[in-house]
Amino acid sequence: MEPHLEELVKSAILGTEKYVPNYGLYGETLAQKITETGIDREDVFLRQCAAAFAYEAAGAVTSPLEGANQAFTGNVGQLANGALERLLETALREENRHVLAYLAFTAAQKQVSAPPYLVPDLLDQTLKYGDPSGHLTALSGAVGQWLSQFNTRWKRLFEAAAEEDFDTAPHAARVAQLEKLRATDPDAALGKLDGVIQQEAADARWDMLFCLRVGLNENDLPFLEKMTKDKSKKVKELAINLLTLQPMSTISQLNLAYLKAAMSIEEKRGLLSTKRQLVFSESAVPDPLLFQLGLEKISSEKGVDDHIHQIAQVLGQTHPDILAAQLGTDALTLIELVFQSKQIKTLKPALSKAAEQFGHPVWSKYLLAQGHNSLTMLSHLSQADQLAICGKWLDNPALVGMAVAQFTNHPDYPIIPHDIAVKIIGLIKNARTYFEAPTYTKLGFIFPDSVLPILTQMQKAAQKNDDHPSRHLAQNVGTILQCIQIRQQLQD
Amino acid sequence: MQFTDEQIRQLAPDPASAAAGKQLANPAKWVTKCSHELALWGDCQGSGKVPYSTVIDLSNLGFKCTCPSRKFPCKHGLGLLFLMAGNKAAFTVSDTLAPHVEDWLSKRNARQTAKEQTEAKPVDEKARQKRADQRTAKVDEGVEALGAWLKDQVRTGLVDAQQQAYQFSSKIAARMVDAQAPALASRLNAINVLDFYRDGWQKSLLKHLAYTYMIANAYRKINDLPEQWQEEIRTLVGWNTSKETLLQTGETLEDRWTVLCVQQENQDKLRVEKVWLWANGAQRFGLLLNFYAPGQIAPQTFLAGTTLAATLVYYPAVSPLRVLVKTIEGTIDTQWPVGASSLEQVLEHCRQQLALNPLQPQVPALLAEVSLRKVQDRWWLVDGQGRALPLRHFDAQALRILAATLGRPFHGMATWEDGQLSLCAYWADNRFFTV
Repeated sequence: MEPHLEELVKSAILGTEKYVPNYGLYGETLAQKITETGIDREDVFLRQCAAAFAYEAAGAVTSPLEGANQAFTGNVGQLANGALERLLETALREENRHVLAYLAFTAAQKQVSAPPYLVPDLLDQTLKYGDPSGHLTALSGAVGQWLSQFNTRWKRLFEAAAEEDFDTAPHAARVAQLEKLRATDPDAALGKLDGVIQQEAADARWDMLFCLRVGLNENDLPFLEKMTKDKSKKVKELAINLLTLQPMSTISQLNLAYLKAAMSIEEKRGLLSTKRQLVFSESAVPDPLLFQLGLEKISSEKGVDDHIHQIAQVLGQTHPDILAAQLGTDALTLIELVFQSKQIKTLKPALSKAAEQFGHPVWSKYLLAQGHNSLTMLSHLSQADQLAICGKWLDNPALVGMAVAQFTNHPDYPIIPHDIAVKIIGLIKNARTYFEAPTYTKLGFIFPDSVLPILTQMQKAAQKNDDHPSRHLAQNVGTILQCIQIRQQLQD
Repeated sequence: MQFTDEQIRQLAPDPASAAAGKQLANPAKWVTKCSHELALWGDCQGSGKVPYSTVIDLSNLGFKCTCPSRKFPCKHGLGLLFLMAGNKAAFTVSDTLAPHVEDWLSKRNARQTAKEQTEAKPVDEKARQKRADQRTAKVDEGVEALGAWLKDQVRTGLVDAQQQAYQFSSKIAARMVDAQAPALASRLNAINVLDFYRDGWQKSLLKHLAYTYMIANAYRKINDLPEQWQEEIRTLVGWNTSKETLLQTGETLEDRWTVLCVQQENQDKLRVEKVWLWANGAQRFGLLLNFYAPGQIAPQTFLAGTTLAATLVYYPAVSPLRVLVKTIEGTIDTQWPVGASSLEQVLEHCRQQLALNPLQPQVPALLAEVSLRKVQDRWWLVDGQGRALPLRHFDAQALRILAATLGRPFHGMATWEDGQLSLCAYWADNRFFTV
């Protein structure tokens, strides 16, 4: 601020009865004239101020600006236009993140970026709602990366897992960096983890150790064995669990050796045929190291023998294919035999655990067919098998939510078959199931075009009534229709 | 003319209406949809048996719909316009207007003509003079009270002003409302929205007080001032020139007016619409101020980035800026103006305007080939010669401008206020943006 303005402001703050400024600093003649014609002290002061401010405005000048040109010099690439541009603009304005996610997916398929004027909103919403698929960040393109240099919050979206940042980054960012590095260079990630894990609290140690599930390999074994002696029970259990996933680990070897001794397949001759059955040996004893690593010796469940309890625990930690090979059979036959055994009730949870942990499609399919409902197991099946299972789940009110979640959470928005879509529409129509609002949006993106007439008719029928359920139904169906139309517009 | 989604959204009374309108931008929702150079019309199947009939006047933008919505324009009007913007081919092009459309358009034109005739009707001069005398007495008293209050403030000091932030001048502003000096009341209310927690608030406050004092002081000696300044000061106090008088005696300008920016703000219970216009022929700015009571429908809709063939009348002032619409012939091919290519020239224009009238709060200016740059956490506009002027905007707004222009040179329109530029609109890559 100019000295004469500082004088005036000082006087205004303190009050003219306490401090009268020197008025001659900006223009002596004018100041004198104002003073001479003033009615009183405050009249002079206020007019002097007005004159000084007018002087200031009249004396404004442009400044030379130092520094390099900050304009975008890269290539914006192929930009979204037409319907995609319009829909992106609308989704961003309405903060409709589910529609935005679909549009980002479509843009990724078409390999186009958002028009530059939409990028600030896009980056803001990416930060706000997260970007698990990475499509939103990708959608902002080269312009997003360039803009991020002007906004520290946006910068985080583009920051690579730089090594120098690892030591100072917040915990969540470190875990994310480790996971990312683990996918490309497992040994480097292990080295980084080994260097810092002991300085962390138990929960943080668990999070970091959990990163090793990505790219788990033999080189991790010494480190994991070291972690089985961790102070935290939770961390210790995770280390053991990761070791069981590696066939070459000591624990896996001991588990396998124990099961080989404890389980055998015998043939039992009947009158007309020979029947194979699984036999469990009571005399086989697990290696003492397994007990040290947490294997429970005694069953706490009534009617369950100790050796069956031990077998169940070890079975859940053993790869189905490796075990089947050791027993001279295949995985499907093995699970069938387990199901035929009298101990199936005790062993069932172990089978599910093994199917989920090892991502075993045969056991997963078998267990799902037997009524073991698990989204993890479902994810190990082929698309066709998943659809068949989910179609069955839709008949069971308790499983509808899971089935629909399986369809709507798919990152690639695959179109579901007409009959399954009709089944879901039936559920919506009969008000047997209420979904959360985003589900209707997601359903719109995966319903086939063939259901459009059914939905249109349903909406019209609902609009004729004025009760709350009908209005609710009309609104939800409207959302689905709108999303189908969005998809159609993008296909045009 | 071709509307963009952004422009249509600006017409919506609220975001919900825009979203609902967007949902109706679907050919399947419309039983009929026709276009003509003067109008768009269509029947939208709603929840009732009879479809809603929607008509849009394209020449002098206006909406009509048979739906019961109190919002204006309703979602059907917006939907029809969105549909036109996104899918022109969905409309049946008609050579003739449908009877109900023609009927509405002719009634609309007739109303406009009737309004002009009503405006020319003579008034009871004696009664008007009596009212004016009564008001003069009230305003005189109010201005005296304001002068005394301003002096009291600077005598005792503004050290406690921060503690009264947002209500520093509420009482004296209310007193000005009672004194029927609304412009002074608005000026005083503007003090209450100053950021008292930002560096430099003392200077801004003092500037407001000093300039308000100058107006009050000038009003007391109004008869000693030149005629133009008398009008200016009377306007700054809150005396309005009647529309009838203005239409008869004001400076009329028939031109191609580009709507540069439409700004909305709330003043007490009123919604104030500021429309910045540029006369392409006369190369002059015009500022249209519209005041709306809650629920009041705007008779005319202005879309930023469009150009109108219109006749406007300037309010008398030292540097005339405020305008009144006399007639609008319709929208014509868009023309976006280009300003001075050096910021020094822009500033010189602002200095000249302020020299003419230092009391005007903001001076509009056109910009050409300027770009945005951030230096030491502050945003600047830079011209081709590397000369810069500070920008008022914070990061969020500035980053939007930066993204849309990619930091490259663009044209625009800004106002010069308190030693900073405030960008109102800019156009780059054949796209028009408002801030």
